Amino acid sequence: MMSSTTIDVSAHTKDLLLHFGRDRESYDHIIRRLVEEAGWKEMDARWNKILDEDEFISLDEL
Amino acid sequence: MPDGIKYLMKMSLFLLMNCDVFCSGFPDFPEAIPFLAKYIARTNQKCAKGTGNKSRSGADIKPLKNTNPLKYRLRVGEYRIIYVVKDDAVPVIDVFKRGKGYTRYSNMVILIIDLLKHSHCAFIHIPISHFHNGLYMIYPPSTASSASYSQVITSRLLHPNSLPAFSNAVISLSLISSRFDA
Repeated sequence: MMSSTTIDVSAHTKDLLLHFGRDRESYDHIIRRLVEEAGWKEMDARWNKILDEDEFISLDEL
Repeated sequence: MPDGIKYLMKMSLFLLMNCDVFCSGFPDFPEAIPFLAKYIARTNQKCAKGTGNKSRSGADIKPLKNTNPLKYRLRVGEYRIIYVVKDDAVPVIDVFKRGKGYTRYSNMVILIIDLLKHSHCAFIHIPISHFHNGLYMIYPPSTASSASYSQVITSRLLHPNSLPAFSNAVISLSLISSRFDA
């Protein structure tokens, strides 16, 4: 069992979190899911940047 | 002498040709041994069976659902390789080690690419940025590909200063074993 902690968020933020929540999803789960999604988005953006901007060379050409 | 050069001098080479493995010691890279042994055993097994499966090598490949265009994650031992499939090419975007998460782009130690799944692909591309800083030793495809199995091994040495995330020079070995002739 992971230990818990308390963070201070505004009522507005809490409402926003609730908005993103799914059926009976805890705040902890909502935040975790959003963070994971954001992480993937960030990684995908980085990968796409490589795809778009980097020059790729074929191993056959090396 | 830069650490990278020292490392190059120490580094071990892997030659995987026709399913036979030739390697020298791994004085500074012990983690590579079980990893490669496992991989090579698997490859040998497939070769021994004379697999006719041209569509998939049995590699652990997972589409990354949250990516656009769709990327794939190939798992080889502790390493994760990210690539996309674009027409007849497979750009390899990223390689990292498990546990370092998907956020440690530069933490590449070994690059092993097994793209048998995409055996129809004519080319496998890797970002040139992976080659900007360092020294390379590149082995041409095995000409003794009696099993219609051509492989390329490249190894790359990165300078420790080339990427801030590196504390030591690292070797990256690329193994391309992608083409089964039709």
